[in-house]
Amino acid sequence: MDHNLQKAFTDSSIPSFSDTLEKRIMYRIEQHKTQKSRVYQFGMKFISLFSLTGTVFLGIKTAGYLSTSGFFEYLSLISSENVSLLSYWKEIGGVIADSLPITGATTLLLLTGIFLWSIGSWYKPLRLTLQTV
Amino acid sequence: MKVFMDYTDEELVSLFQSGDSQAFEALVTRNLPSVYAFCFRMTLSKDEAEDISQEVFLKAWTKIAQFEKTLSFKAWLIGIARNTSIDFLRKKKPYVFSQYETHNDTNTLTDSLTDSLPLADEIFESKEQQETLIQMLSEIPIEMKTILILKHQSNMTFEEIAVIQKKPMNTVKSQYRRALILLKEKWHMHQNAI
Repeated sequence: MDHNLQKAFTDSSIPSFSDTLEKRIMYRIEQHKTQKSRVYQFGMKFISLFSLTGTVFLGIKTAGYLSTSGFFEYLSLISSENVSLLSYWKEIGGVIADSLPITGATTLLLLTGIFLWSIGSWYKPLRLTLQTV
Repeated sequence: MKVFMDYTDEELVSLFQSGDSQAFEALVTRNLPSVYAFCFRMTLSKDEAEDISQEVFLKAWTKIAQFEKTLSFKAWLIGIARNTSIDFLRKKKPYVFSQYETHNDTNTLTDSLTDSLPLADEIFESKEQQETLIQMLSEIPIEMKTILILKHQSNMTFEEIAVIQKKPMNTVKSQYRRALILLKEKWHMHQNAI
């Protein structure tokens, strides 16, 4: 039977598809690409805004902490011409490190990095679009 | 587009993956007739076959990174067409699945049937009867119908069908045999009714 079935498949006609089908397929793919890129851009803009807010907030907090912890005073000792600094450099280094808000500063650096990365990813295509207009 | 004529489908996929978007357009031009033909045989409707074909190429575009060169691109594409068509038919209406089908892909009824009703060649000499036989494909379970279409419309080997269906080759062969017997039963019932 499979020989006869093969013959039936070969001989039985299939209506030809519309001339516009190929164009419709490519148009749908383009539409999908645009939609995907819009979602990506929206996500990136959201991340940019979120990380910028975090950077500003944490920047102010960290600066405040640094001024109250005496970090700047300890730091100014280094630039002074006090000779005893050379003999007590280990202790002074330890005090400076203690006065540093390690977690806050690391988070601040991380947020700044995320902000720069996200702004770069949506600014680059925007600049290319503006250049072609 | 002419520049792509010397490339194989797999080479076009590599070109597309390396950033040449026109290569995908060439893949669409080249494979649309076979995808559309498969979808038409599955749905028996021109409009539905066109809609499914659009869906198939969109899926292929989004999943092209998953394309493994163990299968030919055409077989991979027909695999997507198979899944999309089955999903479409299932959503459209509850398809008649064989009540005799069991969990381990055996069929208690058709396995017990013997191929005792050979079909005379002259039956298929009439175009009308050939069309009737093709129409009858919609009366057999969807998995069996798919195997017959993959084998006779898309000219796939049993090995390729097994990969597409994600089933062992022996299961596919046995389902194919059952499909032929079932189709023959339907055909004889139809002939007796006339």
